[in-house]
Amino acid sequence: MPTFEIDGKKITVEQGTTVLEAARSNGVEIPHFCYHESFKSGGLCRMCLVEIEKMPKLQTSCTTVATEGMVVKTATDRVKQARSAILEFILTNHPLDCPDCDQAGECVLQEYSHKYGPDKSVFREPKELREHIPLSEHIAYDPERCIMCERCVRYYRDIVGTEELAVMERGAHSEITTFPGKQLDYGYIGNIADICPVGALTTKDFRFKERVFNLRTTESICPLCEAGCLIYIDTKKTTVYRIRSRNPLTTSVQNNPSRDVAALYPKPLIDAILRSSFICDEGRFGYKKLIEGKLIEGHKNRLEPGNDTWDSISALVAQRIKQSGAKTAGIISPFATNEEAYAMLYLLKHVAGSQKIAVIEFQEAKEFSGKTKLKLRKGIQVPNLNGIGQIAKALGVTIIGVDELLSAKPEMVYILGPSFGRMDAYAEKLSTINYVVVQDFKTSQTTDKAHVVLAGMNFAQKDGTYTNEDGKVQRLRKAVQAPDNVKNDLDILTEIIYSITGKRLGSFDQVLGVIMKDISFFNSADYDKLTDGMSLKKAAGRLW
Amino acid sequence: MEQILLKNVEGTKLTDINNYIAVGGYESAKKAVTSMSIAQIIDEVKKSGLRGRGGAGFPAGMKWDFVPKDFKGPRYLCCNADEGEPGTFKDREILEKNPHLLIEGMIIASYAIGAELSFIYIRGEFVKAANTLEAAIAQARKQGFLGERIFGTDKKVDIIVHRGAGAYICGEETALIESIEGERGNPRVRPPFPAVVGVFSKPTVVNNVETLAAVPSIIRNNGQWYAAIGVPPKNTGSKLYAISGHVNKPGVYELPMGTTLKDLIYNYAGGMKDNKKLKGVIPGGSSTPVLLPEEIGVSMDFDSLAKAGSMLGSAAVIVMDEDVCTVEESLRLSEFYAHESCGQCTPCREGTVWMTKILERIEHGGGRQGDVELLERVSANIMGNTLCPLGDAAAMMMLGFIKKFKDEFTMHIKSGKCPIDKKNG
Repeated sequence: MPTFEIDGKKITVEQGTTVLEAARSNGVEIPHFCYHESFKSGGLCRMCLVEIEKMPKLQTSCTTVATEGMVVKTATDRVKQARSAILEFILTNHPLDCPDCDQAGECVLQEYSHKYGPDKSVFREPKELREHIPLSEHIAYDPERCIMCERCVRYYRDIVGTEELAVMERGAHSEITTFPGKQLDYGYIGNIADICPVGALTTKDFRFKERVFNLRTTESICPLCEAGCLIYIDTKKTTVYRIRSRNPLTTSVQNNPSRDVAALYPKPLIDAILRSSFICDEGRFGYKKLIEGKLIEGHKNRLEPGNDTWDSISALVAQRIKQSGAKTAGIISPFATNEEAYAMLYLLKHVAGSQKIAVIEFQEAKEFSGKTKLKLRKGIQVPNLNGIGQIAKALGVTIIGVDELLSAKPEMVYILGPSFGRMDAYAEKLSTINYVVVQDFKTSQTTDKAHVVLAGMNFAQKDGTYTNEDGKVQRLRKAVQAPDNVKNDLDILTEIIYSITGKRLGSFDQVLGVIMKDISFFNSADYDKLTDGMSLKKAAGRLW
Repeated sequence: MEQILLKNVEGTKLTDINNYIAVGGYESAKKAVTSMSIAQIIDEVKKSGLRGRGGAGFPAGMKWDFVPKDFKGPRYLCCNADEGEPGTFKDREILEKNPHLLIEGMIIASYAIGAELSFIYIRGEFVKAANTLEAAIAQARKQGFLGERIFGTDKKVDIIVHRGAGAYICGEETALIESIEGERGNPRVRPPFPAVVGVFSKPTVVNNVETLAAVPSIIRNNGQWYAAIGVPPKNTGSKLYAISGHVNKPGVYELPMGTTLKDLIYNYAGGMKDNKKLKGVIPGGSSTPVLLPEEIGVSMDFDSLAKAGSMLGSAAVIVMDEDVCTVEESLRLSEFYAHESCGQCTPCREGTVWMTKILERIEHGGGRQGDVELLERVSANIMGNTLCPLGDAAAMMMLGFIKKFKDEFTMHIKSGKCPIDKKNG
């Protein structure tokens, strides 16, 4: 564990830690472009040059390993001059099209230019003009903006392992491209837009849609498979503009001559690093199918048309549940949060006294074609099968198949969506049920025919927690405001419970508190760290 | 001085192994492999004071000694025959005319560092030299000097000729290593140095052709004998000087280290062509700062040239007469560096192109006031900030020309044209 000095501050670090990483984790900013915590540094951009005593030349802090007694200075005139020089060089050919560029506002080059760059340009020559290079139908590559940090190339080499990207040509003509005639395989493309420090790589999905500084960022969980990758949801008003990967871990793969992440860390840790740093294209681009489509506009009572207010409709549903009692059956979507699932099961078991519960079946989350080292997809294409199962188990409820449940001819069926049309296959059997209540946000044949439709919310509109395949409980956050004509799914359930029993389960954090108290699995589960440092477990039971 | 590297090359066809053996060839290799310990060999090379002839002048014995002794697994020797520095054509002389001398040196070096496999990374344009080497290696294998059990011992040494594809940067040792591995020839970050992590991540020594070719003579005689030649104690041995440009007898001359530049130009190379006036000399390949006529008294060795503000480099002497326009010359060299920059690191990739654009303007009448200072600024900003020495080379060249010929640059800018009447075209 070497101790060394950086700007007068003594720091003790793990053996093998680079100066840049040591600085980063101790609050000393060293600007950099090519360094990325997930793959081996190349010392390419030269932005992270620092002065180290006893070394005549400035050294790249991203490749220099901190050693005992080393004295590093990051703010000397020499260092400042070098940084300014590097920025000046980059800007000779980098277009100053920030007003047009999607990256503006989250551009590392823009930020550093303000902080460390020369205040005026002395470059009077014409800039090099370049053609766009097609890499994929999902990604736009603008070589003029490219600063050749090669993060994307190293990502495909070290993380994805397919080496689909390479630098072609030489010197100032260098450009990032694929094998002639080939495009990047769909699967893990989108991450290169996240890791590109400038606007050279952008997703075509988000391109020219909105300025990033107008967006609000919410930390959440990807709902598209049981892996539960950490994501950011970027929104403006009620629209979701894009999904990005969250990157909370600072773990290094430096000094790894084999260039193989796998050689350096035990498998579970690698999975954790990769899962937290990158997301798959299905999560990045596929979220749309979870929020777009023909939406349900308000609650609907088909038995008494016109009588659609929440108060009357909820009283009616409560009445029916009371009447049906043990003959009430529940079908739960695996997209339901832990809290919704708990409330639903509570309603069925403790309120109606029923044991008939099924979970809507979804397909397996298949890995993408292509020989990728990175494999993030897990289990089924849903976020919370594990959580629902754990809660059912704890409440002593056996989950059966939808078909079996409907064949038993229950008096009433309550479907807690979203079902994304998966219930349509059971239309015939559902038509024999006397009373079908569907809670969903998106229309389907099932919602078109149900006797009562309760308008719920999509994953970006509500709070809650999901339990991923590994049993980790993670926080889904409300990113956008839902329209007035729909109601929070958990509130729908708790209000029905209240109107029958007079008992209030409360808001989602209160429900989570109850789940934690009552269910041993949740009591000892692994909880997602929140960015404010407070663990989810500690915060549960309080509003936050 | 008796010639060491080019001895017998005139008149005898040394490419034929029998002729080479007839003049005492492979005796040193045999002596080293059969009767000397590794420590003894390294010790002799250290005593000889042999410094790397590729440009940096790093002591060869020390380099060999850096290879970790306790490393288990293969190590490699790479002979850098990617002679690409503009003005340099000394190694080609050995490769084409005395290939067995190099092979013999490589056998000794391989044995000394424990390498069973060695590479000769030869520049792609050296077709004749590559063919000559291939034939020579085949002959040596047949004689049992290379292969499984060399000289009847249980030792194994073999050599692979790896042809480059025309990139100057592959002469930089880490780019050369990447290229041997089949990667794009981009320099690596150092540390780790090749002695620890080299070819295929194994300990590797990279030596220049001329360095390795000097080894057999050191083993045949001894380190002290070699150390007595030249300017002892730090600049020893013989040196191949490749002189080109406006002299009467351009060519490769093997002379004792420390021959003066003046002697080289006016004595060995037969003086200036057409009796023109000398304007400047680049003493060690295009990267080394140019010297003025009044500086040619300098001894052509590593330390003296460093003291004179330049470098011995590859000892490629480029002589320029009074008709040379130094702006044009620096533009040509700057274009070369911009073209050959690998593009990995920012200052070199952008800086060399910027430099070229400014020089182009000045040369073609578009110079602006402040351009000279701008060139200095760009060069200074490249200097020391790059990943490998290519950027430094470009900057050194530029700063050298500006320092020595500032007036000519200023005149170009002021008059908007080249003041030199280009009689030579």
